[in-house]
Amino acid sequence: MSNVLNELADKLYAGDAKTVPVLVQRALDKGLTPAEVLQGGLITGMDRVGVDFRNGELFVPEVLIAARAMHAGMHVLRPLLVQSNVASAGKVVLGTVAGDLHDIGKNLVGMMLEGSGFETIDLGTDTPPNQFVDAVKTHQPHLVAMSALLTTTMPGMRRTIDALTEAGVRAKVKVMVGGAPVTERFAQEIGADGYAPDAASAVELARALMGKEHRRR
Amino acid sequence: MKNPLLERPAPDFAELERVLKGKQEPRRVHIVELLIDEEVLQAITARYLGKPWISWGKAQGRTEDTAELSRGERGWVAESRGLISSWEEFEGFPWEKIQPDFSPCEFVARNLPEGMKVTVTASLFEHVLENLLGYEGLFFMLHDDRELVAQVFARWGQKVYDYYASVIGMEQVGAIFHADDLGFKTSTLLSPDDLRRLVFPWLKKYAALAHEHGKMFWYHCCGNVYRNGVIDALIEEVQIDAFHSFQDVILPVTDFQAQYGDRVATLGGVDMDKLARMDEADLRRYIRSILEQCMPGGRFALGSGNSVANYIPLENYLILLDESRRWQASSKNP
Repeated sequence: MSNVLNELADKLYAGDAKTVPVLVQRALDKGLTPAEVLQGGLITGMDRVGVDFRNGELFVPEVLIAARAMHAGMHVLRPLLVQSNVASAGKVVLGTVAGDLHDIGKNLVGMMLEGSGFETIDLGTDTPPNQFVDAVKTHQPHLVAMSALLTTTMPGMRRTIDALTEAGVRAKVKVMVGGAPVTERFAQEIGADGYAPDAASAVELARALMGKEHRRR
Repeated sequence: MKNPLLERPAPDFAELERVLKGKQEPRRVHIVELLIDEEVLQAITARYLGKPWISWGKAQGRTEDTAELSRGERGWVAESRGLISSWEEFEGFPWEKIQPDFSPCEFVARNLPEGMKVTVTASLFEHVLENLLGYEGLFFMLHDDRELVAQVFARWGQKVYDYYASVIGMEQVGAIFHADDLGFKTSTLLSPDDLRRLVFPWLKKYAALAHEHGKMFWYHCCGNVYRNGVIDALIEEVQIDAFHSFQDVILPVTDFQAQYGDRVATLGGVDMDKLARMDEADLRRYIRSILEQCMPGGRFALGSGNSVANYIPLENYLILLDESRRWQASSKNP
């Protein structure tokens, strides 16, 4: 049975969006549970994509293609996961901060997170602090992820963290940040819980923060 | 601070060229910028030169601009889709109607102060990425229709070549300053194989064209090109003469010069984040440390790490210019 999961992971890695849903269905037909197909096939494949992306062996196009294949597979799997009450790896509200229309980096992070089993709520670009606060209140995520491209829009991250604090919800979420001018030091300065230099590292960071989150909740 | 803009400038492109080629020790700190935002030019022109400023066009996609010299709204490139997404759109694209406007170049050439030259610039990869195919369009199409991607690069690559070929012979044109950002913080956007297939052959042609006319080929490229041999390919295969655009979070200019300075000239290097946010004392110390490490031996010109964007406080840019003046005054060089 694991052959079909191996093949599924391979096809996802290759970005074969036509074959991935077929293999998802085949794995289900063989009696594997939706959770087993998700973890053993789709997430395994996406994890390999993340590792090779971080190591400089895969590049942005290959990640997008794999994410598209993941999406095709999830189209078959998601209703079954919901039906069987399979919990996601965590819920993440993400967005590009106010004054910044930078999209692709944030989208990559979102795709990689989804590919790793996280549920994402994408607030889009040019997102003001109050919108992050509202989203936290509405969706009750485990994590808030913020992106910024410019030195001048980076302060939006601090303002958002401050707004979360003022609204009394800061302690309920972990905050992670990233983007071209953002550094580990800056993340510490503004009181974020973590910084990731790229999309693959963002997944590792999210998982690490979820570990802390679970211990805390 | 003594205002460097009010001093009499003494541009000397010929010396800059000799310095960048390593044929002469620099007698002064030369300044190189690829781009200065219109708001900065306007502020300098109005505040320091007392001249009126005539505006030019604006980009598409807008949101509030939080910069100090705000333009009210900032233009952004849509990243999802470009102008071409199918063979039908490729065939119907008005390639022949796209003709360069030489009049700005000719006007500047006619009015150049003594000692100055024009550098001409265009983009291949960035234009395909941002406009013709779009970010996501290019990335998906590389998987779905590689031949269409190749054809778009070929058509636009030739357009850029034709433009450079039209102006490189002008006496007042001193160099090609080609601008194509290939990467982001941790990597190039495309694989080195795709860059070698789609982009580098054209860069080689542009560099060869400049060299055939006895002129330099300077290359502006943001992002991490230090993995997988990309920078080596640019230096050895494309034969760029000078490299521009540095981000301290990727590779500080001082490290670049230490590692590659014997093979290629170094342009700019003052990190944008530091230029935007440091206080005067720290900024001066930081710029001096760059000058102390990069000036000896030549093959270096100072400037911003990327561009003088409108979110750079004008005072900080003047500090950059002032430090170049101070270094010259305090150095043992004549």
